[in-house]
Amino acid sequence: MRLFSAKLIIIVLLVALAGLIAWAILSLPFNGPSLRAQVFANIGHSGVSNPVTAVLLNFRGYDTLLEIVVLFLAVLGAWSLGMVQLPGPPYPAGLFLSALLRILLPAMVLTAGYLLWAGAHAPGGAFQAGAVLGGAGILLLLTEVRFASAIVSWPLRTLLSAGVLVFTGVALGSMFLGGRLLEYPRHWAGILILVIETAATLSIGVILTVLFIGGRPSEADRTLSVKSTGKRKDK
Amino acid sequence: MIWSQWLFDLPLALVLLWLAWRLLTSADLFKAVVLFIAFGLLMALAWVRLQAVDIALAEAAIGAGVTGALFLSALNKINSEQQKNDKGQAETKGRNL
Amino acid sequence: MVALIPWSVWIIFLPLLTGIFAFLFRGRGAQLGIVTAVGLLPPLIGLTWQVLSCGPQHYSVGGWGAPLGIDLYADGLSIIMLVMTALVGIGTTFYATGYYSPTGETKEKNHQQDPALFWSLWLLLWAALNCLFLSADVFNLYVALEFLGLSAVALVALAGGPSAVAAAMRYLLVSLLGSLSYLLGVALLYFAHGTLSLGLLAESVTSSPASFAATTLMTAGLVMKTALFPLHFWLPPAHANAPAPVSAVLSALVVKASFYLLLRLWFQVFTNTVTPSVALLLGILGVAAIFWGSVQALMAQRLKLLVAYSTVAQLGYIFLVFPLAQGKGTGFSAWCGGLYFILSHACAKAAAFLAAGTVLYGFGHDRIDELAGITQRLPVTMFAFGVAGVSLIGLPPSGGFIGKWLLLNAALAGGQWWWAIVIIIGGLLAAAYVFRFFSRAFSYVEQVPICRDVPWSMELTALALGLSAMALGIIATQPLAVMQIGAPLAGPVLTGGLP
Repeated sequence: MRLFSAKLIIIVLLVALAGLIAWAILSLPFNGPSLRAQVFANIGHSGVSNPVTAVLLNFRGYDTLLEIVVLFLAVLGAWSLGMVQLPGPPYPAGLFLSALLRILLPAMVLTAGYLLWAGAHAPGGAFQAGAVLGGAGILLLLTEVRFASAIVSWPLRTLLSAGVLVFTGVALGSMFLGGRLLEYPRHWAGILILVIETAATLSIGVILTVLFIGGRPSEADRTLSVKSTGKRKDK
Repeated sequence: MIWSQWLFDLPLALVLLWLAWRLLTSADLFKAVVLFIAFGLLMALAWVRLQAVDIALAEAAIGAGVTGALFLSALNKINSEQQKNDKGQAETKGRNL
Repeated sequence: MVALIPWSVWIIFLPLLTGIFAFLFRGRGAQLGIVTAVGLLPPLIGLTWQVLSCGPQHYSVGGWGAPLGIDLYADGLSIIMLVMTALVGIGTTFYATGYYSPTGETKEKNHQQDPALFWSLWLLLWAALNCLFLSADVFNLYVALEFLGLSAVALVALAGGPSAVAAAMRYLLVSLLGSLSYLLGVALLYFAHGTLSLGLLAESVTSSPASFAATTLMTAGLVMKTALFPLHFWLPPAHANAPAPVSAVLSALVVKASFYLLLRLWFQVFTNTVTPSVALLLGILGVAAIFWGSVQALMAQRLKLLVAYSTVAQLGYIFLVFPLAQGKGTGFSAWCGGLYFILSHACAKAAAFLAAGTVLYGFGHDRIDELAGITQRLPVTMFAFGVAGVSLIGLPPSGGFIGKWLLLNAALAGGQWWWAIVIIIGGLLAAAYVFRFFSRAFSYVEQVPICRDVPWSMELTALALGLSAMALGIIATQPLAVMQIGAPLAGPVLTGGLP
């Protein structure tokens, strides 16, 4: 009985909320004011020709910097749940799977690279490229866990924080060169955005892969897996 | 011209709503995850229709791909924990990946 | 020249960078924490000086300017919040150097808590708070809210153990729900007005369906994050189960951040859409929070839970600002009272949580019934708790007293005497739950419980924070002068009859 009434309250609240939002949206003009014109007026100075990238990496680059910090924090959050062992492959990769991966993984890395490069003038960019890279990382983790365990410890930590560090470096660097925070020197804007996006792509890819593990990979695993591979070789 | 767009968009919107309802009410978590991935892919299509290709790419890669993989990994962990807990019972309800 | 230095950038980026370095160089966390605590002082003093001498400060990130780019903004309100963060932050940092010190015993006790992760998360949380208090863009504020929420959740989970992880999970879901509700409001605002800048929104928001919906959504989300009764359910488990320095930061600072945003939006952006009846509703919920939180604190079995429920009660007072600011000529007094209350509660609550953490650290448990006579073992810590208690109750000459006094005056001068009764009864209830613990702790027993060695930094920082809550009651003029700069409400500071 009590559960029912709680459910009822939630339903009533949700319906009221949906009504409120619908009422608000229907009351607004379809083509309301927006910053579209301003974006296109300034895109020439942004260093890229894709308006989305111009907004994300230049006009509102500060937001994106903080968003990459948030992604980085997601890893810290997962790691604060404790240590986990690297998930072993559920079963040894068969002939078909390893042959498929041999084609698929380079293709995924290439796609990520293309998306990253294309982001300057067409849809794409660091987040999309990073996601593809993250997918490749997860596939690798599911089949070749030995490779993944080789980069636990400081190389992994460096890769995870590279996006934030490079972005912050460029932001503060452009301030030291006489501009404001994140005010790229005009002729360098395009190349600096590419540098930031490259670091961010790498970091996002590694972050997504590490999140898949679901906790802090224990560094003891590394020695463990090296030992076990050694044994395998002996056989 | 307009009606042909409606012919595509309306079913897409309805299927999205239906999938969302199904995945929220599904008692089987594995089924819910699969439905979530399907939802993510169709959502990407909806973003394309809204002319937001950037978001469509991100939705397909992150919403459907990586998030789906994360959910499956979490589900696998829940199931293996459960198996550990009821070792005595030979029957394991969980699905292994 | 000094006037032109963008101090706000340093206030944001110093803790951000040290937080990431603490992750990269494991084992250097404590040093990086101290570098941050000391290094933040010059930019903070610089910014305060700029605001005091030249008024509110603007800074356009990327040089694009308001509607297209993001602006940073600092006025008296921001300065008060930044100084509060620095006070509690410096205290917590020094406390944590002791709490996470690599002595053998500590390691055994806290084997699940990773000091490197703590330092990294705590410094990033500090950066998130500074980001939030300096932003002048509603979407950037959303990002800062997520930044803050995620680091706070991770810090709660750091304690390890099923209860802490469950509390963290609940905290995460509430935090996300609150931010999403806020984000929906941001989307509506942009769709209706074509800008995300707080300043430009303040000029263009009128009483329309869209701004009404945005006000409702954003207020609901932020109220949830501030844990106003009856949306407080997530706070006591999260704050009571976290490691000691984390509890202090969560109760003293993190809940205040969403309240700060509520103040900004209500008094600077939504001035045309908020109605006295909604303000009254928030006030009534605040009253309910005062009573419910106090009663729960009276009944709590564990010391940390007592302090956490005290936070629920004390948060109720600051929501009285909304109805009190509606009174004629009492607006500024209520504004100052609320801010003063926030400031002194931050110091007092941080001191109380740090002292409670020291008790837990020393005795291995915090069950109030078994803590008889602990003052004989931890006199400094218990004195710190006592000083903090004085401010929480609102006795003179503490900062808590000034805050309550201003709120009382605003209530009486505005003819809203019923709030005054609540404030007085709330003080009595606070006295009851504080003295309930004191009667155990200060009792004399022959068989004193065994206590392990507590680093001096833990005992002294709690005392320093408790004393700063006291000091706030003595140096009231300077903070009040800062609060005036760029304040959205005008009027006299009603300090009638102040000793």
